[in-house]
Amino acid sequence: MSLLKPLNKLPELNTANVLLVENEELFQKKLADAIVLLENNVNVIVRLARSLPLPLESRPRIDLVVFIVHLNSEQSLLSAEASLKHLDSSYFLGKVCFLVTGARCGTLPYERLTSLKKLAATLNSPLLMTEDRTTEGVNTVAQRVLAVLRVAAGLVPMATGLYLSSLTRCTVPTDPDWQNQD
Amino acid sequence: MDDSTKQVLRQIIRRIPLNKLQNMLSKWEHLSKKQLRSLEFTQPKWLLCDNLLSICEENDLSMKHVTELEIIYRIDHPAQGSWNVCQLIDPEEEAVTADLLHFKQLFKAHLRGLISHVSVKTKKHEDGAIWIRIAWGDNFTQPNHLKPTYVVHHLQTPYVFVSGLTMKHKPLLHQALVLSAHYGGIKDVHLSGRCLTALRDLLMRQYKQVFPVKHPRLLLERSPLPSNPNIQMEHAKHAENRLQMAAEAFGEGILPKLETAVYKLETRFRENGNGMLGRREEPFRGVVKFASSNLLESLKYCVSSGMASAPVTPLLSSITQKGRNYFVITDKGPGASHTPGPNI
Amino acid sequence: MANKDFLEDPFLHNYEDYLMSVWGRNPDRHPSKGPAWSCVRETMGPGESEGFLVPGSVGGLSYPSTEDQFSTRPCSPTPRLFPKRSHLRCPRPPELSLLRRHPPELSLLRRHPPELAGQWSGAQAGRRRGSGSSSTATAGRQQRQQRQERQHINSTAALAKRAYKSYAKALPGLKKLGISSVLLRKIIGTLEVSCGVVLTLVPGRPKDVANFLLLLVMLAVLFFHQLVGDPLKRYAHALVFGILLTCRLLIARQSEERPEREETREQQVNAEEKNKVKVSYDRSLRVAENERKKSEAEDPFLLALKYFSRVEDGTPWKGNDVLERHVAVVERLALSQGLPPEAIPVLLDFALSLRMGTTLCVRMLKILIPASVVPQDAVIQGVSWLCVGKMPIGTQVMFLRWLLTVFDLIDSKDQLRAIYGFIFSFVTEESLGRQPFLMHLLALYKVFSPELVTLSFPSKMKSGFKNHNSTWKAALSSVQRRNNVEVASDLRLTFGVREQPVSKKRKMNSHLTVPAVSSLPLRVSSSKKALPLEQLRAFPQLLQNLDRIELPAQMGSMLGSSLALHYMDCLRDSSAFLRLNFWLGHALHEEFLFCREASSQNMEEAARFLNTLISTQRLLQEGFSSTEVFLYRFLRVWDGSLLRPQILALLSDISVVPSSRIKVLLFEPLMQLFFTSSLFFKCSVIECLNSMLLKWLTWHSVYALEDELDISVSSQTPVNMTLSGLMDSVVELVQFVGRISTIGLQLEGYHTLLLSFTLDFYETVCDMYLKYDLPLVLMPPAGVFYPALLSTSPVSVDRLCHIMHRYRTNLVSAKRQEKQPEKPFHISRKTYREFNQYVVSMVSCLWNSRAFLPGMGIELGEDVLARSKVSEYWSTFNLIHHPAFMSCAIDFHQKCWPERKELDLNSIKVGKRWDWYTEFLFSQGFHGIKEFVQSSFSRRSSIKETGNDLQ
Repeated sequence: MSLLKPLNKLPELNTANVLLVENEELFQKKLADAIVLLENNVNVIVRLARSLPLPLESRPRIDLVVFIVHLNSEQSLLSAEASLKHLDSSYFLGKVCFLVTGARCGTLPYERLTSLKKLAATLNSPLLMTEDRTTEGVNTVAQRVLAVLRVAAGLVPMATGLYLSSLTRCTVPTDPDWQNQD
Repeated sequence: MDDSTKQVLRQIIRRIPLNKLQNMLSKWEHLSKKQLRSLEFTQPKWLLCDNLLSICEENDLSMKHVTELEIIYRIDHPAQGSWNVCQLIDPEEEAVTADLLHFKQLFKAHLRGLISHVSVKTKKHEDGAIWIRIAWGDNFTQPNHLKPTYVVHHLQTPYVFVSGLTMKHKPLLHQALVLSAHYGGIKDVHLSGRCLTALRDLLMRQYKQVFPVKHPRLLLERSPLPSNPNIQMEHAKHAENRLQMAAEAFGEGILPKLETAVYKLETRFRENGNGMLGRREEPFRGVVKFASSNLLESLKYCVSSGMASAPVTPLLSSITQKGRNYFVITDKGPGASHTPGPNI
Repeated sequence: MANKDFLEDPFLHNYEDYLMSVWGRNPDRHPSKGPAWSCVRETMGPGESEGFLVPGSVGGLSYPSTEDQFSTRPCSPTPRLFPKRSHLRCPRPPELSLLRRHPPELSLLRRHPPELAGQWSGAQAGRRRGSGSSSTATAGRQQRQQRQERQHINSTAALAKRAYKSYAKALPGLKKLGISSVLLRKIIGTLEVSCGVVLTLVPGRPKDVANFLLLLVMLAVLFFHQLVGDPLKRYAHALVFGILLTCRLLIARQSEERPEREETREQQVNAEEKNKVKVSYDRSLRVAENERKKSEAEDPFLLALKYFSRVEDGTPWKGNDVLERHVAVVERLALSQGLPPEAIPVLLDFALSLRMGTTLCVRMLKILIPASVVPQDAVIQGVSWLCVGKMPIGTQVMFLRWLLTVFDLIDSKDQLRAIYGFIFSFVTEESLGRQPFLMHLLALYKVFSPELVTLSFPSKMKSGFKNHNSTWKAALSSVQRRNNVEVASDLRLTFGVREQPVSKKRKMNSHLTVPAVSSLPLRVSSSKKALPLEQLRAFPQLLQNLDRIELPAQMGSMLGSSLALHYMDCLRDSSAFLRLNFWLGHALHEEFLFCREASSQNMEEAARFLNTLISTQRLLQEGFSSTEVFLYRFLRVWDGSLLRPQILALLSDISVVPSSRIKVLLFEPLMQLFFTSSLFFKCSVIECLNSMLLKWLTWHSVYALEDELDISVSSQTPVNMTLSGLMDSVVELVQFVGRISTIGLQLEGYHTLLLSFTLDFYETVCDMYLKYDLPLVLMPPAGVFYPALLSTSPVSVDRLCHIMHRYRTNLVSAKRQEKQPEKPFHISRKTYREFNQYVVSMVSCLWNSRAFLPGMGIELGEDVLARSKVSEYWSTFNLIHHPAFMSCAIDFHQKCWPERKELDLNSIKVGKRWDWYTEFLFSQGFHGIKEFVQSSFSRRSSIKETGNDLQ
């Protein structure tokens, strides 16, 4: 199974599966620990991967795929782009989310952030900014991933991933004035 | 003490860091304890050097003694320059039974026979290696002690480590080595690096090697599994596999320290038509140079972290397997242009 | 006269050169005779540039000199032994080690060291040069001349007496004064002798005075000679001596910073000798010992400074151990404690003079980190090096960048300001070209002084500065942080206005370390006496001096002081605001967008700074535009937790955003954060938007003018907003909050906390017309209204009632307004309909027990209601059975029938009890319900009637 599909397996009761994809394997462990510690009501299972496709194994349905991109390395972005091809298109209906680190640092190439924003915008996925250096930042992003995950896994009544992603999806400002200010 | 001796001593003192100087001087054993105590090592070096010079003058030390200090320092800190490795080939019968004294005498005699003005100083290291310091002159000039050549040889092994040798003196040294060690010839191994022990370990396979086995042992201690059962690694097996591969290619534990690996590529342009480039006589040349403070560790990390593809290419793994870090890659031959492959 | 020949050489100006060359070549050859030698060595006083020896015998006045010790005449046959070498090597006394700081134009002097002038034989050579016949002068002629001189002296008293008699005769005025020739002779003689003694023996100021007197005497003598009409050869000596004296005086005046060249040269001679001459072992040891003692006696840093101050031009730097050592010393001190002010001129001069090449210059500039202040002189001297013109562009740029970095630390800037014209022309017109790091600064400066900056700038430049000097700044701030103790104490001294316990921020900190916050002189107030802001202590003082207050040099310091802000508030000059804005934009951008890592200390500092900024904005009651620009950018990269309270507080302060851009700037980034974040974040966002709306409305009610349709805003806010523009923005904002709160409530399971914050917002919205005079009524969306109505918390329902009451009041008065012809405005029919529907469903739920019935607001399908298996579903949300009020009903029931065992809530509905129950509810503090009931049911009219009335 090279293509990861969201709907070919039944969900398990009170369980949410999240897959963290990060080429560098630097941040995903910290994030996974924070996520597991934060959630008490639901059984959250975090799966860590460098890239897609995943090895052939039986695994439960994955409710949310999170791509972690470090802006300080081009490889990080390229690897995420390459991994996207191994996702079924129905994942992009609210079951994909991007995390980006180092966006606040103005010394990093701005084009990388822009191209990532465009990527997230075309895939209708949210792009979460992350402060990966501080524990507070890690906890915050863990909370936010959990919030998206709960909706994507169908644990929030009357809300679906698609619904949420239509609200939170990344936008690229088209205003030329604004671009200039950026 | 003449001027040149002073100059050499000054240079040696300048090279030795101040914090190691005291230790070196006491090892040297040419200064009395009182004299050693009279030196103040908190002073600036140039001042210290002046005082030391006057003491040496008092003791009437000669160039011989001064070079001894250098050789002591060099033995203790071999990573001062680049070392090249040569291999002696075709051993004769005596080669196995050669003893140190004999080798020393023979070497000196042979070298003096080849060149008139040369100064040779030898010292036996604790690990059995013989250290030779050669200051070269030529027929008309005195030996230049400012740029000596160092040779390290372990008797009963075919390897010779050479540092600071010029092309001019290479044949002389090689000839003297071959004759005095009772070998038939000598060749370059194409291995060089700053760390002498690393080169030795690499050639004599004195690092922890890992061999391919059918049932890979558990690598639990190497990659601790995530503490929480709710966190699962998707690529755990892959990671394990990669670690194993990397260990097989480069060894385990502390790896020998190499600084560079150079690949020279010579290739012909291949195309079907008779283009301009195809008819070129000269091959295209390119050089790829890897440099790191510890090259093998870096390469290993590349493989184990997945930056390099997992079955290690023979180009990289032959650094350890063949014990060399300089490669020339050429096309196999003019006829076999459709099956290009590296000829290492 | 073995060495006579070289004296004749007109090209060999410098004896020292010659000495060196002779000794260097043949150290054993000691010149045993010859006045030149002995004079040079002997007269070199141990510390002075002493030159002149003898007045008595050499002056033009030939009288016998009795003071033999002064007689060192050119041909004096007294040979002196060459001084011992130890004397030559004797180290210079410390006072000689003045820092070598001769400007380039002094090079002429360097070639003629003072010794030369002080030499008699030098005088001869000088005379020959001076008379222009130097090239033809021969030894023979000189000998003849000397013979003449000797004769001159031999004919002693008689000649002199005769001469003076003739003088006295020539000037009859003297006789009248009672001065005879004898007296004249004695006066002049005494003067010459005493001045000569002073000149030889007494150092310092008296020497100069004596020189001057002697010169006067010489002039008098020359005058006499001229009177009598003597031939030239008789007074040539006096002439030459006069010229010599003049030269000495001139040199003495100029040599306050005398070049130390001779000295270093002497050292070189020593060194050379040391190398060449075979010295015995113990002597060299002694020398080493001496040097060691000397070096230990002094601080290595001072030694290094000394070295840099006197190092020769063109000394090689490669492999120069001595240099390395000194650079290392300076480097260590600079990076640990910073350099003391007195060291900076020396090092800067060394670097910029390129005495050891560009590499070392760059290296030196890199470590030039001041500990406290940078002396102004150093900077001016540095600027003067720029015009020497041998510095490569890269180094010039580097120097300018260094200057910009330490600009705040320059101790005073008055002289620097004087050469601004030069600096600006240099920066803009010289070969420097357009340096990106300068552009913003120049653009800003152009606003203030357009005549200085002639460059044109692209009209659209990014506001805010990029940090170009980060390495220096990092080093500087670390040094200053290390010296924090002093900083804090300084701060309290300079800012008496308001006590500040800790420095707020690195940047301000670095500014405030300057002991005196220097102020820019306002060009207008040049006639009046200006009062620097930092001298203000109290508010009355501010009021008295309002018209002559001077702004500080750096506007950032104003943030900390409330007095300064008060002043700023009443200032009409927009440039102050502009400056503050520029500074703020730069600071915010650099600190928060370029911050490499968010360490806790950094964040603490940042939070403190933002808090200061917030309080400033609150005081001024308006936001800075640079803050807004920063916020819009920051929102896009914000993770939602970093400095949350501060960022949201700042956000609530922003001025009205035009409705065309509000979506892009504000709503999109906020929405992405809002829906992925926690409940508390959602609450704080709603609260923030609420206070934003409040500020907009307040702003409107304050600034709205009479004609009501065009509001022009005070000068500081760049946005000129019309009433309709403002209304559009407000509508956008309210609708946005309605949208996100609806979905937020749904996602959070109608959390009471979020609901409460949302109702807070609508409490502001419902009163827009009456309270803030904005002709606008906007109803809450159903997603907010019904959850509040059906909420389990009685507070929510109560507040909803209150809000509905306020809506009703607003709508009623709007209706009344509509009927008046002079100020007509229209509220759409849809709003009334919405309101009516809400009222209908509210009343039918709470009072009439007709919920879910057709036409009663909320309608549900029959089958759905049937599936709920509630029999009397229409009455489940009346005031008795409503989940929020059930407990009240039970309470009431118990109070009514304390003896009753079974609970029958329906009995409350009957008759008078219903009125009692509502009274009971009012008494429980549900004022909202009371208001709603009283306004809606006062006439006991039916609901329909109310609706019709409003329509």
